[in-house]
This record gives sequence, structure tokens and C-alpha cells, in this order.
Amino acid sequence: MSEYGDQELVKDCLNGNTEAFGELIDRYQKPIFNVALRFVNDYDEAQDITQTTFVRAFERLAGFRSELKFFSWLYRIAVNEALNTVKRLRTKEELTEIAGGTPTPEESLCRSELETNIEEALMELQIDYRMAIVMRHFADLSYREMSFVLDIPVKTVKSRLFSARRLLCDILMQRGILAYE
Amino acid sequence: MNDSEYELIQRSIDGDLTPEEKLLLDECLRKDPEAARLANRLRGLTRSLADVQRVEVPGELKSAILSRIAARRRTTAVEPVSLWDSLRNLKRFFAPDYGWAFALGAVSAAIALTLALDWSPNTLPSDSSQLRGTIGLSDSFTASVEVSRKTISLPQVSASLAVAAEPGAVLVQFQCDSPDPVRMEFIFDAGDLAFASYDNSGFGQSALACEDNRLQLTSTGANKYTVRFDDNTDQPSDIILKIYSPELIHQETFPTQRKTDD
Repeated sequence: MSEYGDQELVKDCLNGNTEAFGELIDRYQKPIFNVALRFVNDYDEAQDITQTTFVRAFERLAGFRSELKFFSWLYRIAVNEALNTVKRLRTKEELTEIAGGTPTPEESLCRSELETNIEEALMELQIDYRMAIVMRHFADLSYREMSFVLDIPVKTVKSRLFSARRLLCDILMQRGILAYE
Repeated sequence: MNDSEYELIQRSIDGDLTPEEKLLLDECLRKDPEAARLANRLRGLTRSLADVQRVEVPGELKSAILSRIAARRRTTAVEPVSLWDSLRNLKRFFAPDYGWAFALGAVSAAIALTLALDWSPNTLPSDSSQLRGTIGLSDSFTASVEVSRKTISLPQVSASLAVAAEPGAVLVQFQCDSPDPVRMEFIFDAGDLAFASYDNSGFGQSALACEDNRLQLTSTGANKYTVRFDDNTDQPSDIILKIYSPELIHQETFPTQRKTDD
């Protein structure tokens, strides 16, 4: 089934083949999970966002428009779920508190000093800026894809991304991760 | 540094420059040390972000997702309407050849509307299934009654809807079954409709708000609604239904056009 395109898998799924949706999960669970993780910086919350994203996607599959790229559509759901999570967690302080908690064994295995600094620096950014960085650098989306996923014009994507990058540079320079020159 | 230089720097970071633009940017960076510093920092940032390892997903994630989907499908089992076949049969029965049957038109319409409230279990018709029929046309009546009927099959929402226009009123009857809140918006694009009454015979939770030509209902769980609008004009009034869960997932227009017989 791996030679199937996303659209064919969606079609199969709508025809009652749940195995096809399993294939879509195989394809996109890692990028969705990583995006969620960079956004909320919490392993358990990222798992929950990923699960909910796929459940929502399954439930809304009949409304999926075939002219869209499936992964863009999926990211859009993931962004909404991540934003809901952030709202639930309410404040940046609460997120920072979570980030400062004891890492799970899985987290410890995966984190380097650079990653820890970048994760913490990302959490210092406003949500909009953080999302722009995550979508561009962790999801590898184009400006146009980001425009769809974040539901903002391409021009806004560019300006937001530029501001986010400059702010992140400043934070990482203060932490000694990036050189001033 | 001007906006076009910012744009070139950003697009160079994203590998989006043409060879000509790249030459132009190199020239800018040679002339403007501040721009060159910024470009270097942004490239450094990009390298650092690229060095961040992608985290492997927990092994049980896929099975957890599939379990949640299976659980949701069990709780959103569909309970469509038995009116479907009844209306189809009625329409055939009241074909023009059976002139004697026209006299029973009003009675049939009343029966059909009553049946619309009887939501008995059945097999869900396909997503596109739709029936529109004219019931009860009769020379002896001052108006015909047109019923528009649709079963909407969405994975997370079981919604069945019947719209009937009769002299002086528009009735909207529908059911909705979803574990998550579903917001339905009914918009009347013409006519002079006024919200008259609302009944929910289901056992879920619901909230209703009505203003001008717009009715909003938020439904959680299994609900069965009958909403009646007074209509003081003879204008046709299409009803636009929008379903949000939480974003817009379905939109459809239901005509409620009536003909007044002389």
C-alpha cells in the first residue's frame, strides 16, 4: 500500500478501508508529533495533540477537499489542536513550568544541550511566532502551505517568519548558542 | 537595509532565490555590513534548527489513535430517519395520474410531517441521498406544500433534516448526534421569517440563539429538534444550513419555495 498517494488512501478510507487510514497515520504521525512537541514542549501533551489530530482528521475526512494536500490539511488540524492545548494550559508560565519539569526517559534520550536551548528559546516566543518557526523549520512547509495551515496571507507569513527568526536569533545569542557576528 | 533586502535575505534562507536574485543579494551584502550580519545570523539559526533531531514517536501512538477512532465510531452510531422511504412512496402514490388522491394531499402532508418526528433506526442512505418532492398538490387548496428532505452523513455528525413550508410557517425538523459540540447555523436568505417555537425531544444538551434571519443551535449528544418559524410573506426563502465542529464542515441550501394556487 506504500506506493499509494495520500489522495488514494483517503479515498480508500472513505470507502470503509480503515487500514488505509492506518497507512496515513504511519506516514504523518512523526512530523505531526514533532510539530506538536516543538509547539508545546511537553511529551505527553504532544502525544495527545497528535492523537486528537488524527481522530479529528478521520472524523472530518468526508469534508476533505481533494484539491488540497492531505498533509497541509492535517497540519491545519494539528495547529488548531495545538492552539487549543495552549489555551487550555493558559499561560506561558504554565508551559515553562512544564518544560522545566523532570524529563521522561524518552525525552532524556533525545535531548542535547542545543535542543534544550532551542526548545526553551521557542517557548519564549509569542505563539504566532513560535508556530511560524515550527511550521517552516520542523514541518518544512512552503510559504504557501504555511499560509493555508496558519490561515493567514502569504505576505503575513513572510513578515511573521522574519520577525520570529530575528527574535529567536536574539534569544539564542543571549544564551550563547548563536554568535553575534 | 530596505524591505526588498529583507525579503531577499529571508528567501535566501529558504532557498527560494533565482540565480539573478542571488547575485543581487550578494551585491547588497557586500555593500551593507548590517545586512550581511543579519544574513549570517539567520543562516546560523537555520543550521541550528536543522541540527535538532526529530523525536521518534511513542510505539503505541498509532494503536492509541486507532483505538480512539474505534471508540468514537461506536459512540456516534447513526440513527437515521424512517421518513425517507415513506416520502418516496408517498410521492409515487400521489402522481398526477391519480387525480382522486389529490384530495388527500393535505392529510398526506400532515402525515409526512408527523412521520418526520418518528426517528426510527434504519440503514443510513449514502451521503448524497436526497429527496425533494411535492406533496399534496390540489386545486382545492390555496397553497402547495413542498418538503425538502436530506440526510447528512458526516463521520462525526449524524444529522437528518426536513424542511417544510406551509402557509404562514416554515418547519425545520432535524436530529443531530455527536459526542462533541456541533454548532448549526440556519440562515434564511429571503422572506420575513420570525422564530416562533422550538422543541427538543432528544436527551442531549443544546443551546439556541436566534437573531434576525439567523438561528444558531449548539448540540451535544443526541438531540431531535422541531423549530417553527412564522412566515408572513409569500416570498420563497431558502434555508442555508452550516454545520461547524468546530470549523465549518458542511454547508447546504434547502429551498422552501411555495406556490400559491389561484
